[in-house]
Amino acid sequence: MPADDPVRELALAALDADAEARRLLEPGAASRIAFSVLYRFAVDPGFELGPADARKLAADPAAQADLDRLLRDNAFAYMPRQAAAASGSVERRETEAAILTLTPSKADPGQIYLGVELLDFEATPPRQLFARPDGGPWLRLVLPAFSGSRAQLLLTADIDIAAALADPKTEVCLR
Amino acid sequence: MSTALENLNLEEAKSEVLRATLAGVCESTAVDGGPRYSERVCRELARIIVCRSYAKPLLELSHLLVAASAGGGRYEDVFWGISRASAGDFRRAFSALDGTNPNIRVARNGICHDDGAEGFQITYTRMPLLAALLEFMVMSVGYAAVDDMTGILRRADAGSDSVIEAARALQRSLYAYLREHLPPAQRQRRERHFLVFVDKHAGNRTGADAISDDTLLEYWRRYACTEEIEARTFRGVYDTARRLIAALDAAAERHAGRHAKSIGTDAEAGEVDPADLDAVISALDADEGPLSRLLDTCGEQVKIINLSEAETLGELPLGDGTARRIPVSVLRNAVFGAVQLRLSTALRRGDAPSVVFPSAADGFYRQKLKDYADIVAGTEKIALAALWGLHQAGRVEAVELALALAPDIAWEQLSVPMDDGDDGRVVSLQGARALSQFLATEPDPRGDEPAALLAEAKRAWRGVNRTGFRGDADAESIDAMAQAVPDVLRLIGAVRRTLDRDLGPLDWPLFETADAAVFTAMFATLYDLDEEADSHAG
Repeated sequence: MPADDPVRELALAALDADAEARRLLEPGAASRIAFSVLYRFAVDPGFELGPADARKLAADPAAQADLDRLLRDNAFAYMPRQAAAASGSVERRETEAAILTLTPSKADPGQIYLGVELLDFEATPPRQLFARPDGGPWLRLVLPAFSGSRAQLLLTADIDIAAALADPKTEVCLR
Repeated sequence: MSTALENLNLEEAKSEVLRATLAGVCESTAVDGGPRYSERVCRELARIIVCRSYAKPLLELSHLLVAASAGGGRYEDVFWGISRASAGDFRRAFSALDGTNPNIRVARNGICHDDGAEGFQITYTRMPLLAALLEFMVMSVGYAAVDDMTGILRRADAGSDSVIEAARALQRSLYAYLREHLPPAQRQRRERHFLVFVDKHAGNRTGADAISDDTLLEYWRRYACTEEIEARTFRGVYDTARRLIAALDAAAERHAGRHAKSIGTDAEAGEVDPADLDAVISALDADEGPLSRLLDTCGEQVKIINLSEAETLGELPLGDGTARRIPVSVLRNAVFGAVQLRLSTALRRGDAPSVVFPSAADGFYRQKLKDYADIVAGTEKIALAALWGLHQAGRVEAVELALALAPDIAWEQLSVPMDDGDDGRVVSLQGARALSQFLATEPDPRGDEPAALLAEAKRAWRGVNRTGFRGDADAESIDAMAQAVPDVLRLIGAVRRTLDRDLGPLDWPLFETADAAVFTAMFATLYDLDEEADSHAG
């Protein structure tokens, strides 16, 4: 069997490739966060991102970009960060699809009302609100059932998402 | 030196990104915490990546993306809206889209895309792999890039031109990614070393024909005690030979088949066609054999075969030409390979080896053959019991099983003469009528042959005490049984063929005498044992 026999070359190349494929699948390799996890995070209000997945996402700019795209695409409403000139805290965000308002509670200054008003009465209401402060990860809030075109939540002012929603540098998605 | 090391580290880092991405896909879980993709799908995905044989799967995926975007929906909702990437889940997902795009036909076995050309079909069983490939694409070249490249597929009238354009864009992006991250495959030294030895002893035999029982045994005897190559265990050498036989046979078949070559492959420059490479690697996948398929199909639900039987039958190479080419080595591996494993395990643990060496007087090879024959006879009995379960459940698979288990009985009783002026010798098993007649047949040991077969099947059912066969089988067990019918028949056929055609006709007493001496002497040398003392006693 000559060494340059094409059958032999193909057989050996296949054995080499098979060994490489097995090496790629060897257990113990560090793994990236799967897109299927990002998808569930984006669409399933009942799904919580586990600590390991959260760490993987925080360390993976490509996965973060995938999540950005996933959240923005087909969002009920996407509200980008506000103009550079904007300063102070935000009380109202508005798109053609929805209006978000933040209203401090008169009864308790430590609490804040988040109002969501849908401008398209026919549309299926969003179930989640995502907010990403400048340079930070996406934060998520599960929305309550809408009454007509409105929903309202009472947030503690010092929680991350309340602070983020008040920051003009935060981008927001309703899904 | 440091530059070389830095380059090496850089290359390793790039390759680690690929591994981490693949691990991300393969470790992803379904809602119940089980794997989202089966091991088989993960292996196929790794194979596509390493062989770079992604052209056809990406074309299939592009058609599937058209179907998954039917009715203005998003393909993500189909691919990731299902929890587990299984044929059944895809069947349900596409059934829900039935009628939303006139160019997509949702059929029983898969979908068909009327692309304005010849049409394109994709089966549900193919979809899990395509889903894994899509997830890998998204995680490697990026979701935004994939989404943009496939935008033209989301138009309801996306035809073959759009599909080809999208598939080519996906191919180019994956090619660029792998050029960056996939290192060249390392040359496998063990196989090449063995082949050089085979060449010297092959005479005028070539290809897999050159690998013989004598060459294999001689190679092991020569190199087991040397540092030149890792060949200490007979089983290791046998596995090398077996993989080479499978690869050489598959390569020869591929080469002789005049398969269309991929455009852009330069065979003169030694480039191997990715499709050829993929086809040969599939032949190396031991899990493609009938035993693994049967365990996959119904392993837990219905114990047609138990683990101990599977372990014993697993010694037989059923999916390739090994038993035909090196039949003696198959039993040498089963008997002495196992002895050597026990011996080396005991020594590694620091225990005194208490392994009984097979003696020629025991007829150890013939005993092995009897073990295999007993197991396959038992499997046939279980299959007969399954026939009763399927018959009672009114399943069409009962007929397939009955015809395979008892091909020679008087099946014409279920047939009706063809009304075509023939001389009456030609009869037709007119499908539905014969089926209902068979399913209505009552078991009767003294009745005609189908009735007697059913009586035997009923008796077998009562005699089997295994998961899935006790009492009245539930619907899930019957489904698993029905699904297992082709695999169990393939397994029985493959074991019978191997025993009767490949292993049966040899002079085993002769080999028993010779091999007991050869292996005892080799083990004594390798493990510094007292040959006389250990050849007969524990």
